[in-house]
Amino acid sequence: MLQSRVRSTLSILGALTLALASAAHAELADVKKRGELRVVMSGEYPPFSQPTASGDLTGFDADVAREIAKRLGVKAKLVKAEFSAIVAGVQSGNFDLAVASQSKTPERQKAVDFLSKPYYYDGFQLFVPKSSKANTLADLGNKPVAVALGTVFEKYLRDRKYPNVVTLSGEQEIFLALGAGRASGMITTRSVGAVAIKNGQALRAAGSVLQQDNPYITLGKNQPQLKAAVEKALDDMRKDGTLKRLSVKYLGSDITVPAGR
Amino acid sequence: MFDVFTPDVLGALWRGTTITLSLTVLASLFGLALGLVAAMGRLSRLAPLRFLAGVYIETFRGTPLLVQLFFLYFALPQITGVTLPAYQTAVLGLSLFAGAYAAEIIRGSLNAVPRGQLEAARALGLKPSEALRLVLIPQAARVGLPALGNQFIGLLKDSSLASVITVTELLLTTRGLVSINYQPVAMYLAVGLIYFLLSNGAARLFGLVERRLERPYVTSSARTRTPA
Repeated sequence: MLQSRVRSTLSILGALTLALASAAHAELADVKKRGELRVVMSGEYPPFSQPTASGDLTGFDADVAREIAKRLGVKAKLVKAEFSAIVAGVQSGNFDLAVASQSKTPERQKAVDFLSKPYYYDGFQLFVPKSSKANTLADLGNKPVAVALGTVFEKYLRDRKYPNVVTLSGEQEIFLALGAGRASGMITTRSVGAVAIKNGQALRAAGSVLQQDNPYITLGKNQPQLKAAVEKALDDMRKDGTLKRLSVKYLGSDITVPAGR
Repeated sequence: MFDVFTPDVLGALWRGTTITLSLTVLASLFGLALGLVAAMGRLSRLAPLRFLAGVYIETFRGTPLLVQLFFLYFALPQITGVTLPAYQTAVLGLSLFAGAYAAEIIRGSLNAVPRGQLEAARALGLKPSEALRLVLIPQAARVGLPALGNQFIGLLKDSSLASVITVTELLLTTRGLVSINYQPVAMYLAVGLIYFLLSNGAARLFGLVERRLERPYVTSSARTRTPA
């Protein structure tokens, strides 16, 4: 009795879900007509994306996004969203493109489209406060490890059943949490941590790189023309050295080619 | 479609719900106690007490709960050197916030009890504390209950702000699930439904208590209205 009532409620919810989920995506023509490419990024992930004092966004991701929009002949509208909201926002058509340092996972691939090649090459790294003696996750003895919500770093800890995962909205808050003693370690990419340390965060890299991590640009499914146009713009940026120049500008080195090449 | 609601997901939602409920209940109880103290302070004859209670109430009513939570979570450890766990920090923040509002509800309810009641109680030889406990609070409770019920429901929803300071209550649980299964429609509908059921249940419960507190008044007025 109760069960059948629950089931009928659920099926009404289901119908509603389907109706809402089939939101239309903007194709290349729509973007050109609008004259604006809506690009989403975390904005809490220096040096890839972070707010400027004037409220704009700056960083490698921000500049790559602006360059792509320029090459498509439209204005770039950069939007800051929490990392965990980025895929859902692209999926629902709120954004045309995510230049948000996203790694490829099977779950994300079901929801959005990935470009054919990564736009840079990086790796996961555990970082601990300078005073800490830990060199591995095991050394931390189940003390809290901070990661941004919905990232592959969170997934890494969850997959390993790490018992004390603290999720925050982005890397800048995580640095604060470590400073306030609310976490004993954090996982982010090698490059993000290295730049943070250079900029005065009292951290150090613990041990070696945990896992290779190659971020992609993503967009909503079923947009072949937009995808092809972005793919071409990015390829041109690789060839004419723009991508490398931006990488050197924000990271101090070229991370847009696979390591060891 | 409902393959998103796997046992794992339902288990996570259940755990989130219990944390949301425990946050709300604890903060309401502590908030009520704090509110009673602050209301007594505001009604006190001693100016410093009135001032202190006023500062507390205005501070926590006049700033966003989100700012208070961020302050307690990130700034307080740097000032005091003491780092409370996130859950305790959230209970503290929500209680302080609830206490400021409860204080004003309680003050208003106490003021709503006719002046003659206190005078009569004092004339009968009750000490001030007895007059408060036996005469004023029972009558004020009846006046204040609807507003306190309202506040409880407000707190139930405000507790979702604890998600920004890493407490995995209902909302953060859901955001985490969405970041894994990318089913925002189904998940946020479900979480909205859970919040609705919780606040609806709370409203009914408070309605019951209200009716219980009304009972003596209903019968006494009925009695006076039917003279022999």
